Amino acid sequence: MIKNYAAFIAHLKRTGQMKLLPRVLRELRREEAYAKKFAPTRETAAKDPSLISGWRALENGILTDRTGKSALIDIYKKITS
Amino acid sequence: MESVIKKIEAEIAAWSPTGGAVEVGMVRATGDGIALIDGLTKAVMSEMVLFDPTFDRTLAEALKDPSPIYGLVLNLEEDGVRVVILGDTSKIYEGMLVRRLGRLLSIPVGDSLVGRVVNPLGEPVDGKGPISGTKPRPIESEAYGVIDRASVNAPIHTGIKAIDAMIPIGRGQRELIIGDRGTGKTAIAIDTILNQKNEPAATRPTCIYVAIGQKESKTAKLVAELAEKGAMEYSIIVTAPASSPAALQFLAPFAGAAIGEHFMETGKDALVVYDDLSKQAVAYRQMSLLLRRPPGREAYPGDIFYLHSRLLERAAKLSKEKGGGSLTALPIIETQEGDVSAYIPTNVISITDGQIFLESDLFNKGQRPAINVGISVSRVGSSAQTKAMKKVAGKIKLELAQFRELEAFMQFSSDLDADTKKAIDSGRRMTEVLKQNRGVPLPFEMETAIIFAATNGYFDSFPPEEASAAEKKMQEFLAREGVPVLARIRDSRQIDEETEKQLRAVLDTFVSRSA
Repeated sequence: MIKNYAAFIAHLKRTGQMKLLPRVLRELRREEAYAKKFAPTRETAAKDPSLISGWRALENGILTDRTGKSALIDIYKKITS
Repeated sequence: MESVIKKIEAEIAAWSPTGGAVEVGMVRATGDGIALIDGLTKAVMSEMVLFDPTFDRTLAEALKDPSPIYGLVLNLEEDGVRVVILGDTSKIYEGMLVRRLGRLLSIPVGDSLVGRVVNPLGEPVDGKGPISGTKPRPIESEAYGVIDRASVNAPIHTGIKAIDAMIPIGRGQRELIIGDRGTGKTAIAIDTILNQKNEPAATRPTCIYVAIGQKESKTAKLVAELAEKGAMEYSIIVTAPASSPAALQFLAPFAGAAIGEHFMETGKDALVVYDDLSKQAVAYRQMSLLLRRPPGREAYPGDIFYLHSRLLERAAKLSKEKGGGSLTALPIIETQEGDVSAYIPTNVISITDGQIFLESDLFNKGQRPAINVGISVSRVGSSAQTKAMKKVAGKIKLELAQFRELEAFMQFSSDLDADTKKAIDSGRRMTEVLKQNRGVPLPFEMETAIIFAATNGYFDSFPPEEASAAEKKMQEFLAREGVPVLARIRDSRQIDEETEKQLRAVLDTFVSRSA
């Protein structure tokens, strides 16, 4: 992430690389989208009744799922396979 | 109803929350059977991933279609991984959760696969229900090293006279079948599978036929033929039809090799037919281009040679310490206009231990199987040939080579000297005797007797154009009157003095009765 925007722009101007700005913007948007996608989340059955019971958390690309929904799907697959 | 309730109760009682954390990623983009995944930073090459459609759906929606869709990691990139989708690509959507499975792509293998038709993921496609008694085995595995191997020393009989006599194949060998379309490549492979029925059950190899990019109707016909002739009792079909994703067509031969290795490692013999590797190469090229790997010659990726070499190196004859099992490979390559110097044919020719070259011209002339004996070769098979066949077939190749040299003079037959004419007639007779219809492989002892008769002048009393018909009559005669001598050859696998005497007596009777 860019910490000092003014210094960054000044640096680009000084080095004659202002045409890189659209690319920088694209990269930042991508990073933002990625961060949003993998932002730590914690869902509980109280907030989201479709989970049936329990909770699940997603953080740093690691999913921990202790919901009733996943348990029921697991049992369903075992019985029907 | 009661049994279902009991089953559910048992599952609930046995169920315990796994609760383990699992690494997940999300689909960023998908198309043409490839998905670009964000996350999965610890994924490894050839690892399986699971596209999970249940994550963001309600339970009712999830249970409507809970069938898993697997993917195979094939590209590890700076900002994600590229995965080939091994299932219905239309069900993959942007933002879909993808789980790492932590294991390499595996298929279930076991003795219970015998008699079944499966896809490259080991799932049954013959409608005979699930396959039990299997255990997972990675489809990619390293080939056995030098220490674990023994030299090829036992023959695998194809039941085709021309091959068993001149281009013998040994157990553990890799023999390429190459030729244009419609020259009888598959027929040779199928006859070889059918002929294994003539082998004693104890030494009969399990046959695996891998159909890659074939029409499903062709595969169905083939399965029906094998079933009708009782060959499905020892055969397994792996099919990745033309309609299946390129990824499955690329994986099919590896699945066949994994199944074959299961039998090899249990001390048994296995035979695997890859029909055909040209189509696998095309599927791999498609995948590689979609994965944005740099194209090389004929747009194939740089590792196309390694694709085939690592597959065919898995064919082996194991040492006694490793159980003595074997895996014989019969890869098939389709050429265009007989061009064996194209990229894929030259690659596979250099990898294998010999090739059976089939020619359209010979096929159209009515020579079936249309084998060009001049450029067909078996590099290791002769050491595995039985004594009996070695003894009788020694002269054939030389005789046919001489015949080919003289063949050009055939049109001047009226001006030829007696010796040349005799050599030409002898070659024509031999060519006729070696003709064989598809679907009728001969037992080893019958082949030996016929070749013995051909090389010892027992067909000389017949005009060359009648030699083929005479050979069929001889087969019938031997099956009727030569049972003891055939049994002797079959049991001893050699032609000793006494056997030769008996065989000559039977053949003399045949010739005298036919005169």
